[in-house]
Amino acid sequence: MRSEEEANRAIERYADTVRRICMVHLKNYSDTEDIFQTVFLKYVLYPEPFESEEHEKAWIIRVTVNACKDLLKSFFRSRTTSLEALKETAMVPDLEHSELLDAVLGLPEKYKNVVYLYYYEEYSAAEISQILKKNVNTVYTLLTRARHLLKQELEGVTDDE
Amino acid sequence: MNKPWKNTFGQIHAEQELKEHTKEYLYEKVYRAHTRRASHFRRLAAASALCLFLFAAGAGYLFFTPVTYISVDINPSLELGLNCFERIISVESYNEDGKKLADSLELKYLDYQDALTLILEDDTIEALLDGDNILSLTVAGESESQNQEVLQDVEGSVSGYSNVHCHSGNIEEVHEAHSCGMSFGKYQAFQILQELDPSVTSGQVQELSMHEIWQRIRQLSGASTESDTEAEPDNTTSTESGTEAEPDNTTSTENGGSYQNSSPGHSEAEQHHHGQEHE
Repeated sequence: MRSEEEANRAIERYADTVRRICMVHLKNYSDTEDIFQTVFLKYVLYPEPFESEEHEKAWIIRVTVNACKDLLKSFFRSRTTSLEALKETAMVPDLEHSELLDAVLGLPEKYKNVVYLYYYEEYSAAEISQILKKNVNTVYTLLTRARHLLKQELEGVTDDE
Repeated sequence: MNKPWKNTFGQIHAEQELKEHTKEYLYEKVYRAHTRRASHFRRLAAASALCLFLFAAGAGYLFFTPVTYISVDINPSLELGLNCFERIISVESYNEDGKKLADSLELKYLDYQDALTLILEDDTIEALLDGDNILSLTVAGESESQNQEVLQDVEGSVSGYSNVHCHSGNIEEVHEAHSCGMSFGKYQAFQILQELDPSVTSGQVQELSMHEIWQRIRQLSGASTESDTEAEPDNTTSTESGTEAEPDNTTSTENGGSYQNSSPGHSEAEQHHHGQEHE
């Protein structure tokens, strides 16, 4: 078990990353809190040491993505909320470049992670395939389709090339 | 091409509140529970250690507290303290010979019957018994039932010896005897002697052997306490004075005289000695 100092350090270091992934997937704050708790509890209880900071970060991202996936699954099973209600409770702050954010949020679930990891976290397709435990070619396909969808949505905000 | 992405996602930060809530959650869920569990464990460990200590102390107290004493008096005078498990836990010697005997035998922690066998088989004791001395074994204990039990067993184990006598006494007398620096058997003899000659002190008796004490008793009862007030028992002269006081007893030599450490009716016993001596 990791010490409280380690846990606090990890929270300070990775909270933004986790928050961004949550933002991409989730619409309300309490779900985000749930994800934070799940992710960092898992971090504290994870018994293996991390080889490096990159390893640690990739681990956090994977756990967050999986936690979001689990939550969304249970979300669909347990609760049904209309799209309007979702939009209302969406935790999107009043940000610049919100067209891009809106476009990303509007993507189907399966594209969100690859897009975020590829463009913002700047992971390579190979790295993404490892983090998400997907085939590299699948990642490429997802990226291409996502790019296409975004392009349609934004028309010029994101340069395809 | 990544710049808009950086700008868009870069401005998203985890709220301070969110971080604090997560930290609090982890503290509640993991760390406080952990310390609580640890303190539970510590408390449990302390409690069990205390129980163990008390148990050990109790067992130790039971084991190391003598409840029954067996006083062995011939010339060497020693006393075995038995705990409630009937093991010997103390060997006290009350004279030089007794000390020698106690040193030569490893009696501690033996079963008392084994110890008695060892004592009876000891060369010095065997020699004394062969020389017609009488060995007195006195059992005294806090518990009457254990007392009787031990006495019976002792009687059983010495039944083969004709000149070993067993008696029982009570624990207060044992303590009195100890405070006078005597073994219990000797103290009983001293009390008999003191009744006949009130001027005899425990210090004087301490220096005498059992044999000599009994000779003095015989001598005093024979002289019917009229003139015999010489209370300075002299180790070397006591046997001689004994023969002087009873001129008819010509066979009373140092080891020839027989004596018996007896229970309350000692005058009968003394008469019995006289009878023996006359024979």
